[in-house]
Amino acid sequence: MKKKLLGGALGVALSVGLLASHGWGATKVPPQSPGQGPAQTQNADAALIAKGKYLTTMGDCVGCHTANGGHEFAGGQYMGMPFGAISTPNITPDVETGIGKYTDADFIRLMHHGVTRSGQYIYPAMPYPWYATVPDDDLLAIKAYLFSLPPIDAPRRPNHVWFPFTIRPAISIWDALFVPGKTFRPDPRLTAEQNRGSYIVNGLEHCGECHNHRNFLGNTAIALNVLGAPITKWYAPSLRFDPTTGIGRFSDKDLVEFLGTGDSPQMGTVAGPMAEVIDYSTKHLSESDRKAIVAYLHTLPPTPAYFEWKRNPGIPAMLAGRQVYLSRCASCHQPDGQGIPGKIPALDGNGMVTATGPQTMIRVIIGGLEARGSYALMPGVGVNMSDKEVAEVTNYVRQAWSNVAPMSAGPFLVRMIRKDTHTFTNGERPDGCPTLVDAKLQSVLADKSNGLDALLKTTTMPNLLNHVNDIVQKLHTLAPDVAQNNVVNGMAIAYCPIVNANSSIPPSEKAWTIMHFADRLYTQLSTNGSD
Amino acid sequence: MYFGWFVFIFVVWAWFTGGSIYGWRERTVGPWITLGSVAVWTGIALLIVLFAMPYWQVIFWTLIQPG
Ligand code: HEC
Ligand code: HEC
Ligand code: HEC
Repeated sequence: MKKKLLGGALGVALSVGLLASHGWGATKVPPQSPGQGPAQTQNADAALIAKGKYLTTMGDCVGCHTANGGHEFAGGQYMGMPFGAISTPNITPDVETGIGKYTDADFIRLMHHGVTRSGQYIYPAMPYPWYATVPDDDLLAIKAYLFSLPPIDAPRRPNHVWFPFTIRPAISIWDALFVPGKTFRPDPRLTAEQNRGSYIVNGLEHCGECHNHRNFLGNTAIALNVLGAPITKWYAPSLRFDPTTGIGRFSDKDLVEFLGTGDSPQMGTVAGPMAEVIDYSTKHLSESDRKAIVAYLHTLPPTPAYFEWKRNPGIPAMLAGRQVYLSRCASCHQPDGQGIPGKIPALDGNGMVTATGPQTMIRVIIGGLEARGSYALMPGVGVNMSDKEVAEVTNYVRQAWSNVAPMSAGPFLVRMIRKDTHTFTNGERPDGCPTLVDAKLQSVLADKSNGLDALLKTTTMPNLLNHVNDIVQKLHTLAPDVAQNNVVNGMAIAYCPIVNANSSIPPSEKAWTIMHFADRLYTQLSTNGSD
Repeated sequence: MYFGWFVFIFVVWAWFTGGSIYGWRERTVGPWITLGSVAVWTGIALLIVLFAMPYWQVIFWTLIQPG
């Protein structure tokens, strides 16, 4: 009987570990209304706090512990897991709802072993298996920084985790097996720069949380380091330097630039969870730390992530996919898959396309991609395509030109991913649109006296050219310092509820209308409108 | 979530399979019939957990999706 129970517990523990990847596509919900917690008096010295701030950025704590539009570090974001959704807790120093009662020892125990002050085992959705390698001093600097923040009263939101994954003590068995017991020590065979990179990649940045190849036990210490893996409904590609299946074809300069901005000439643009990693974390690191990350990745053997198998372009699946490509994608990405430098990324040799799994590419086709850097906005063209067409074009592009990725997309996978993908016309807000994040643009649009809002509300396809022209002129004086990509994304989002509410536009054309508007705006801004 | 459903399914399953085993002990049915009916009830319970509840998705996202 006892043995059986243990077996059951082990089974649950292993499955919890196996399943506890991140919350991709987590629905972000508006925050709790902020209140006043008791004031904290912490006199940690400024240098320690500054160091802690940098390390907190490196740990990307804000990426998870902040709800969309909510207070930084006040938690409340839901992270989707295959077995439900978990909310992130408040990690401001509020005594009642935050981590105000944590002592130094409590905090180190949490970060190294995943056990809270009250002794509860936490899900590895919080990347403590990576934070476990961070030395105590550095963790205490993070704590000093967090405790220097204003306390925010934000109670934990209820978790929606499915039984039996709710049995937290089971996590301890997985912890005992897989959480590293040692903190980082420099490897004498590596240079100082490579060691710095190793400290970052295998520690606070937790790159392996997404990029490590899973085995049957989940994403564990014995999983293959950064060889690429599906994370819930996305695919994090291999970071080994194999030229076809990994990142070997990109120059170090491009990789460093990609980690610093989210786009580069060779790599195109970033999407999904990686965009958050870059925007909240790697973008704010020093250039030398970004170089160190790349230098460390170079020390890993360039193991291929998959077997290269070039399929015959004459097989029916390829011919069908090619048809879809020519009618739906080629006008932007070009028939030869090379895109337009600086405007439309190339799909030939694109890392999202050549990843082992097709998940990220499917998501981009269905959900579109926001404008980034000098690149335009990609419409969610998949909204009006069948699951079969999306699968066909995905498989085709993954095998076209120099690409040799497996043709593993299928209509069922597309259907499963489609359910969770937000596009402009099924965003997360009640009006069905995505959330506008640019604060400057938000305030300009909220100010009804400048006429921008009225102009936007009366924009239709027939008057598109004139109105966009006027909008660009107005924005030029009202919001001159908002970056081009933020203008394109923000205005498309602002236009979304107007299109959604307009009953004379058939549902099948709503997405197209918004994208057409965004496309016009982009063209205007990137040619004459911007200067 | 779903804890109540698990309890409910377990009780019904235990009742039915218990009945089969009871029947064997009372010698109303032979061991093969008992074994068969336990297997059938277990199979039905599993099918309900997997497909009437969304647990098949856990298997899909962890074991079946490509990559
Ligand atoms: C990938 C998302 C993610 C990142 C990144 C992350 N956390 Fe967490 N964190 C979570 C989740 C989810 C929980 C809750 C886990 C649970 O309840 O099982 C959590 C729990 C915690 C707790 C426990 C709070 C309590 O209620 O006792 C602390 C403290 C914490 N995180 C601090 C940090 C710090 C510091 C960082 C950055 C170095 C960080 N987290 C980065 C997701 C994340
Ligand atoms: C209206 C023009 C347009 C059409 C049509 C279009 N795309 Fe895109 N696509 C873009 C732009 C612009 C981006 C870059 C978005 C950004 O700035 O991040 C992009 C990005 C992508 C990416 C990600 C690459 C990267 O590095 O960001 C993939 C994959 C992709 N498109 C595939 C497709 C496929 C497949 C189709 C056809 C089903 C398609 N696109 C149709 C304009 C388009
Ligand atoms: C939250 C999960 C997550 C984390 C953490 C993460 N990545 Fe990623 N990464 C992804 C996903 C998903 C993609 C695919 C989307 C894309 O290419 O934009 C990706 C793409 C990339 C790419 C582009 C690969 C290619 O072939 O185009 C690079 C480079 C990269 N990640 C490096 C890193 C590094 C370095 C770290 C640690 C600092 C890291 N990632 C941490 C999820 C993650």
